[in-house]
Amino acid sequence: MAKDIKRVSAQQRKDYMRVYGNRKKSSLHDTYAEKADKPFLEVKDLEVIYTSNKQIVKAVNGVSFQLKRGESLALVGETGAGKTTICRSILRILADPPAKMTGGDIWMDGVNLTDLSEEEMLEVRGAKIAMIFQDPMTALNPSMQVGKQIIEGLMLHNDYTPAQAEERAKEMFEMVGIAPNRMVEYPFEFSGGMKQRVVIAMALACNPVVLLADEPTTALDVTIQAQVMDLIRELRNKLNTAMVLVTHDLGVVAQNCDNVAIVYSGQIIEYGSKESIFLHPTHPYTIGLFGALPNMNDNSERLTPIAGTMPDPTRLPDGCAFAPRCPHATDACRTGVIPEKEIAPGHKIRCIMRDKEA
Amino acid sequence: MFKFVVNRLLYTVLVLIAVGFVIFTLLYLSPDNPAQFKLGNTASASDIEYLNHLWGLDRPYLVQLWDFMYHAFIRFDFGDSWQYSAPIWPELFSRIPRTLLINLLALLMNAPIGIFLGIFAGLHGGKWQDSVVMIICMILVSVPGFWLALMCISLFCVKLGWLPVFGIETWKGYVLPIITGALGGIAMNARQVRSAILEVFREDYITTARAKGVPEHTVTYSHMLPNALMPIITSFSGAIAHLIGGSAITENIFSIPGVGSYMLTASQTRDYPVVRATAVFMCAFTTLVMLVTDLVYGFIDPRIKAAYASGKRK
Repeated sequence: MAKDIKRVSAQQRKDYMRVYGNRKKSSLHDTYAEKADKPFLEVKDLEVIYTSNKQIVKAVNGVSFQLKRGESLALVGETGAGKTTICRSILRILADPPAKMTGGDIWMDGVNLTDLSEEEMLEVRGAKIAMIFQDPMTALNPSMQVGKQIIEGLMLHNDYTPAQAEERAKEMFEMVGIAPNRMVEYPFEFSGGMKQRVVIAMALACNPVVLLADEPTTALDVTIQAQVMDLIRELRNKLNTAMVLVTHDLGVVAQNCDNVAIVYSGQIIEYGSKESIFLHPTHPYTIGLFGALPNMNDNSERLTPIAGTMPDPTRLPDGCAFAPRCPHATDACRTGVIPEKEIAPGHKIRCIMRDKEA
Repeated sequence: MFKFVVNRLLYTVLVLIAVGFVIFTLLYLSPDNPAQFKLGNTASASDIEYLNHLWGLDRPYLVQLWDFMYHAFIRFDFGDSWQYSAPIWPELFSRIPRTLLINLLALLMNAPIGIFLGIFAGLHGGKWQDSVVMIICMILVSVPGFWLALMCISLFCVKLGWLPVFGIETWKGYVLPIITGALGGIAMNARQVRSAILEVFREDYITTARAKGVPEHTVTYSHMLPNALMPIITSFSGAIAHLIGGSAITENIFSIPGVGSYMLTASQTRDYPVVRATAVFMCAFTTLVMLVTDLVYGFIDPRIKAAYASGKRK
């Protein structure tokens, strides 16, 4: 095992040189220790639109966040808020058309991913940044042995011989708790939870630095959910992988994430450490989200939902996108751009009303 | 796997017997008078009666049916042609290789070309390349095969003089029958592959493959194509039936002495034993090719392969 890690890291150094070696970036000379404290992945002012029937859907409107090595960030929000789109644009695997990234930069380790050519991106996908998808039932190729699907990625990103790749794939299978002799089986021979384990093994096989987990447990039942999240946490600790976790589930967030970003209509409307968000939710939408959670110590018969639905993304309102549903909204909320304000160290919101109160 | 093949072969035999029964009955029920056909309009009633007796047509239906079934499926003897008063087998035998050659080559041509065109159109979905391929395919599918064959003859054989108008003295005689036989299938396959590719294109596992850093051409050939092929192979057997049915017309147009033209002439002259023999042969050929496509299907789709190898499943 130790030998293996050494080999992989040597390989990663080589990959690094191959992809970034000819770029004049100071990051190349940074020491590892220096880098550990700097943001490793930085998304700046990301904007993505979808075009359908000549209508423009603004899916992501100026999202920025940072991630250090080994850190984890949760993107929380309703369906359609743009969380999955954010993840896919980091890997640049948006289906184009209809989706198009119209603005923003994605910096990884001193390199702007939006500047890379498609060939250079191939070296990043799966090797540096890996993704786990929402639905394990459809995320695996039904006509390919699951082992081959892992080996395929390993062979692309490492100088393995086929035998070495198979060995490594076996290791990954053991790591996620599947007997290696099942590598020759096809996805239809696995249950949903097992498939998700395969997907996780596939994502982590090349020791990625960033893991994008797009609702990895939504399609699974509760007991399997816990197992899968434990597995991801364990492997991340082992490999020091940073993670962007997309989820609706605040319980999963509490257990797995350092920072939380609340996403609404393609914007991060509240961002902060897990503690600050959970203990001091400030944006009316965030407060609404927590109000919609059942509480064991509370005897209330009904939960409080957030009234209304998300605004039509083809016709986003002026000002705050949440204003139409917000109990505190005033005329000032409905005009202009709502700026981001830091209300406590590291805790930012986009809300002019709460911002005044605080 | 072995068990599956044996089962399918037994099944094929049952299908052939059923076909024999249906063909015989339909011909029995037809109001035509084969003896009249053979002897012409001036034939006397006693001559007709004599021929009917000679051919056994004056016996009851069940006796005739048994006689045919017994000879065809147990003795493998289809009897003599009424028109030529000669045994059918040698004649049929000499014609089979030509029909097989034309049909198999047409099949071998239409699968790869159709699949390639379909992938090409599917990957360029909505762009001009797609439209061009699809318009050509639409024309090929909708134009009747015999008209296309005649147009090809007038262009390549009459105008350009590259190929013989009829006959099979040289290999050149086979070129047009094969191509015109394949064109319709190519168009059908291309359309099917295109829609399958477009469907597979947005599947989650394609995104997974891309997220792994798999280059686009590998995504196409090792992730999209095998999955897109599954529905195509099913439709392929339909194309085979179409092709074999069409070979009667193709062979007739190109004057090729094959099974198809044998059948067509026989049905024009009410030569029932020949019609029955050729129908059973064509049916056997079709079911065998379908068996092969089913086996290929199992090779591509792991779920079906697992079903073949049942017993080994965990």
